[in-house]
Amino acid sequence: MATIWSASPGVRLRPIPEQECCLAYVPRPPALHGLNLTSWLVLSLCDGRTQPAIAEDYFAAVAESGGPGATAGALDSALIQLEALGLITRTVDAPITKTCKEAQ
Amino acid sequence: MTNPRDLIRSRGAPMPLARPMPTEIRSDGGLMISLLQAPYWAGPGTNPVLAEWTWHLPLQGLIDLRNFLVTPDPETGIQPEAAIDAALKGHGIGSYIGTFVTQGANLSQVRVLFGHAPKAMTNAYAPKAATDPGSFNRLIYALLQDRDSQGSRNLRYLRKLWSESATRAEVRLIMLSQVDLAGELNDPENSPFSADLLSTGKPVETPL
Repeated sequence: MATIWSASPGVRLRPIPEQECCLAYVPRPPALHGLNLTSWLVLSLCDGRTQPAIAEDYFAAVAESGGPGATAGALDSALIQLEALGLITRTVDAPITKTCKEAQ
Repeated sequence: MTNPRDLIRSRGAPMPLARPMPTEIRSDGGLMISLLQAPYWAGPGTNPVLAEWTWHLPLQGLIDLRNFLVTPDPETGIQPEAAIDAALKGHGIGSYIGTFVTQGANLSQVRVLFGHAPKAMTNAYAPKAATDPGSFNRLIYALLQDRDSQGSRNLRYLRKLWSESATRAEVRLIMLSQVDLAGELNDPENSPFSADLLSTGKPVETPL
């Protein structure tokens, strides 16, 4: 059983590419969050895909450039942060770490 | 290039970071005060020291406090501010100047001001205490023990609000033109460190 991740209802994005970040607005409760490139990428992938599908696309995107975001735990960390801020929601509960490792 | 994939390809992938951003909160500029009436109690006098109690209240707390200040006591018919002023004058502490609200965006700081004349007064409760700068608190404390007077009771209410606030603070404002600052600082008895600094330009060595 895989976790399906989606952006929370009403979340609005304001990319600021010149500063390599993206602002995300959550309407309820109203809050503004700043995402760096990697978290921005993860949020953009949370469009109803399963976590293995997100992991596949994510690591394909970061593999070429490398960097700290290409490490094994980076995707898990991003999902946890985004969920804690109310930017994404999961519809099926499953352990994050296990599915990410499987995807790699 | 507004796609994070393209940016990551050229800049690399940092560790994920998503965090709340502090945002500016706009308001209509705070309390709208369209009518001011002169206070009804006697004049504040010419006390050279102001004592101030400050704390913060939510808007409902401000409304409650305002209602308290203007509602006459059911037994005496005297409004609390006038009673507090009379109590301070009656005990030779000074005078009650007023309770103010700092006006500004998103501010609700309450400031209660008292006039105080430490060296000029005699006091039945603590005559010696009246001659030193810390006398105000001791005199107010003595006044608050008075269980019979309305002024004391009303002042206890203000002090209780102050005590309950996590942002409470007390300050003394001293009228600078009435202070012989150079004389005080040059007096080795009162200001040994400052006196030496002013006369020699060098700080005094602290005795071991």
